Amino acid sequence: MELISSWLAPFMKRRLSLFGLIVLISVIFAALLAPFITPYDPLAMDPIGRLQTPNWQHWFGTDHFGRDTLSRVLYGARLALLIGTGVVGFAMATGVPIGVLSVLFPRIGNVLMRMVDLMMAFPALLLALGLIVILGQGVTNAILAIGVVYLTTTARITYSVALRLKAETFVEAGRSMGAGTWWLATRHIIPNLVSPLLVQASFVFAFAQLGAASLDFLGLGAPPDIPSWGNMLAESRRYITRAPWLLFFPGAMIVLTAFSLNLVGDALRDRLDPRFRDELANKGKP
Amino acid sequence: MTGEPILSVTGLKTTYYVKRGRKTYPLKAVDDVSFDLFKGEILGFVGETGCGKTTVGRSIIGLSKAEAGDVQYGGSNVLAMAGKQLRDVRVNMRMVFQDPYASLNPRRSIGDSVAETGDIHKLFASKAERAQKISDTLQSVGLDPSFADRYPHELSGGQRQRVGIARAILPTPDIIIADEPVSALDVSIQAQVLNLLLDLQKRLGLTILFISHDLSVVGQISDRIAVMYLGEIVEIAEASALYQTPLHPYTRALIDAVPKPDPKIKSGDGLALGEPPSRLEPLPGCSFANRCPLASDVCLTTPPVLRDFADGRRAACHALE
Amino acid sequence: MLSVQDLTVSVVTGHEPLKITQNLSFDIAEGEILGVVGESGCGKSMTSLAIMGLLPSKQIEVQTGRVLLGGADITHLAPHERVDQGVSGVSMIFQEPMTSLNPVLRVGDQIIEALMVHDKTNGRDPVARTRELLDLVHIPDAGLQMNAYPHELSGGMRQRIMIAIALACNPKVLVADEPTTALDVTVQSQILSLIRELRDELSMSVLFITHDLGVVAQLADRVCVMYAGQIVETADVGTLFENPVHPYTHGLFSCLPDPTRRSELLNPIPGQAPLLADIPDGCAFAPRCSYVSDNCRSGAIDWTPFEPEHQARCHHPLSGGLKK
Repeated sequence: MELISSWLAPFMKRRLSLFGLIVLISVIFAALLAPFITPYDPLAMDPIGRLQTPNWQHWFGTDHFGRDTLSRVLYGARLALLIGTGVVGFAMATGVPIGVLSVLFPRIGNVLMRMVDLMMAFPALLLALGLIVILGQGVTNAILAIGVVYLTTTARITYSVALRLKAETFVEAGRSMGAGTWWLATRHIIPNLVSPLLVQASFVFAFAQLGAASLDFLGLGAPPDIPSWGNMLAESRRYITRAPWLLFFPGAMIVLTAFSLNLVGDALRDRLDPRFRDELANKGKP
Repeated sequence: MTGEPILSVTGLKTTYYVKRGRKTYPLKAVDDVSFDLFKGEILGFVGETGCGKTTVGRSIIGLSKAEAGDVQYGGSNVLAMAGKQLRDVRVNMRMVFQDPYASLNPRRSIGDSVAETGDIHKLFASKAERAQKISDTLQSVGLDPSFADRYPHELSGGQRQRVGIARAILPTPDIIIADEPVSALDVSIQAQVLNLLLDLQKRLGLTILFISHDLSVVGQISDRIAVMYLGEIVEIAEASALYQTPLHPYTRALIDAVPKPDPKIKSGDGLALGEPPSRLEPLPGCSFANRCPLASDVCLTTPPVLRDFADGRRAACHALE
Repeated sequence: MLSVQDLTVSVVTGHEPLKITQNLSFDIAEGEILGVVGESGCGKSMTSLAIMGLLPSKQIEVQTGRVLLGGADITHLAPHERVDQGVSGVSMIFQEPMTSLNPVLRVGDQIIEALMVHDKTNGRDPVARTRELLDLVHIPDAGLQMNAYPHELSGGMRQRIMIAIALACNPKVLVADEPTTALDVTVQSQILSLIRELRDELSMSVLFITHDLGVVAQLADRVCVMYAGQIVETADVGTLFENPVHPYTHGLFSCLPDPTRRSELLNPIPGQAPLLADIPDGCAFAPRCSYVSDNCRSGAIDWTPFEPEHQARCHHPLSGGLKK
């Protein structure tokens, strides 16, 4: 119980973070339970009941095919989380080792970092588009493409933080006691990377939504039959004036999810830093 | 001190390369330093900013790369070691750092930090042995064993410095290189930590290389003292002899400049007038010549060499010959 | 010249205000050097900031008490207000000359800036006055050095520049917060000598804050010893070093490293100074004091006067001088 409450403490301190946590948990629930809680089949079309404004049968209204927007939004959450975790996972799994290796082995590091710089010279969307052109359309490829974009920033951040850490006295102290490179990397450098990387992860998760939505919007991500927030935005283009709810609900979900991820990331970063942990526990003590 | 030295340094040279504009200048942080360290003694290295005392300590264990020199320990030259051999030597030659706040990893518990060498070199046979060793070591530096589960930010500066010492003595090393270990501490805490070092030295038979800019501290704790100026040792002698009859003019200026806690004794204010010369474009001859009251022509052209005097003292000064 | 009366500086963020200093009172006469000695956390730096009007006002405030400069109340005046009202006779020099000087301005310009702000050129060419100030602080080649940047100068020179800037407004009081702590000992002795000389030439009062008893012995006329936000003993310098009476002062002396008593153990003061939030009632030093009794632990401790100019806040003042 104490463990749970210590993890909840940073959220209790700041209401905004709590809000973010609640939104995030709701999105996760929606994603996990979608098949059970959606009132309608997201793919079921009802040409007679198309473009209904939000009402008691369809809380979020229906789209141009008569599909229930609420159900599609809930299913869209699944894809959003899938893409988010996929992109973050890929970016971390590739970017962090690149950054750490570059710091530990400066000669290789120079080459690696210049390559990263080269990739960063491309605007993010163009890079993703380019990769999709090579790889082809689809959810997995979208994840890879966006993942590559964000591996660059992850590598950069890892590099600069690790570089600073390498110069810290406690790392030198480790060396003076006979620690080898592997020990220093795993015991000293990487644990101190967790904090900035967690914040980075929450940003990447958020931007991944936007990136995926852009790709879907352009028809290059998820195929049109899978409900994704980006696809829904794309399809709502022609109906903006007639049926603004088709734009509003998926758009709001993208924004809310990205925003809440940032808030949660901030709070988690504080929780993970031992220096702040006690401050959070001693609420009220100066 | 008699007998065989436990550590013997000959011709140590460590140079940094500094870029100013387009040119790169060599800065001789340690310029041909030689000395012996005898078992069980506390050898103090004292000098002002930039004299190279910290670099000497760091070069001996390889934290700073020396470009020349021989450091004999246990029959081999430490400077020629690399990889595993060097890492093993670092079990026996340990460093205590100046900044108690920066020298501990904020994310590792005190126990983990203290036991780190043991974990790296697999010195513990079991978890129980590890825990016992941590507890014993913490107690021997005056900290309660319960500190093992705490984190650095919960401790005060003095306590953190004790942890730094605990970490250094855990594998019962031969030599401790203490780099300004009390400089960041308040006077009353300083005294506690100095007492601790003296106590540990007696109990564990440690040999300590004590580096500090504070002449009074060095004078209190050391058996012998080496005075450094701009990368060279200018005088080395037994501590009380150094204080009572300093030979080298710089040593005299240094002792004179320390403000004595007695209003009736005014310390000097002019013996070492002027500023040290530029490190990047050093003058020929003695590096102290431009500030020395005893300087003569030979001092400006020929660098003096450390010569032996009575009672094992050595000093490098033309005016003494 | 400078009178601090009942000064209580507190941190005001958080539920209750936390006192950094408690009812601090001291005076500095014209041309006198008062040394304030204490370890880190005793409140000496905050006191100097309060005197200068430089407290970070949203978080730390003067809760009670006054600071008088030549009789004028400057307690709650911010520095620019003081310039406007013509009561800006207090200057400050800090510990780290590198961070106190603007790295992108030449040092001569920084002195001129001080002159301009205080409008103290007296009609003379500011460059000439700057050269005068540089000579006053013994910077050789004043004309050349005026155009140097701070990073081109040594620590000792930078500190002299800071002193020159402080002197630009013809201060009546110089507040020096550990100005030599970051300097080498040979440079320190030069700066201390300089401060003494300036005091003699300009009849300037000096509030010199330090943790170093040696420096105090060399420089100060009178001394206040601070612990946990209060002054525990005050005396003129000769008396303090011959006959300190407060157990804390005694303790400070006993733990000074003494090269003539080599390899003997020092007598440190056990324990550590209390954190701001944990300052006990009664005497703040009681938990560490070997002479403590019950009446030390509660209630305010009054001043016990000894000879004129020597008082201590203690129920058990020691006598008999220092054990040698």
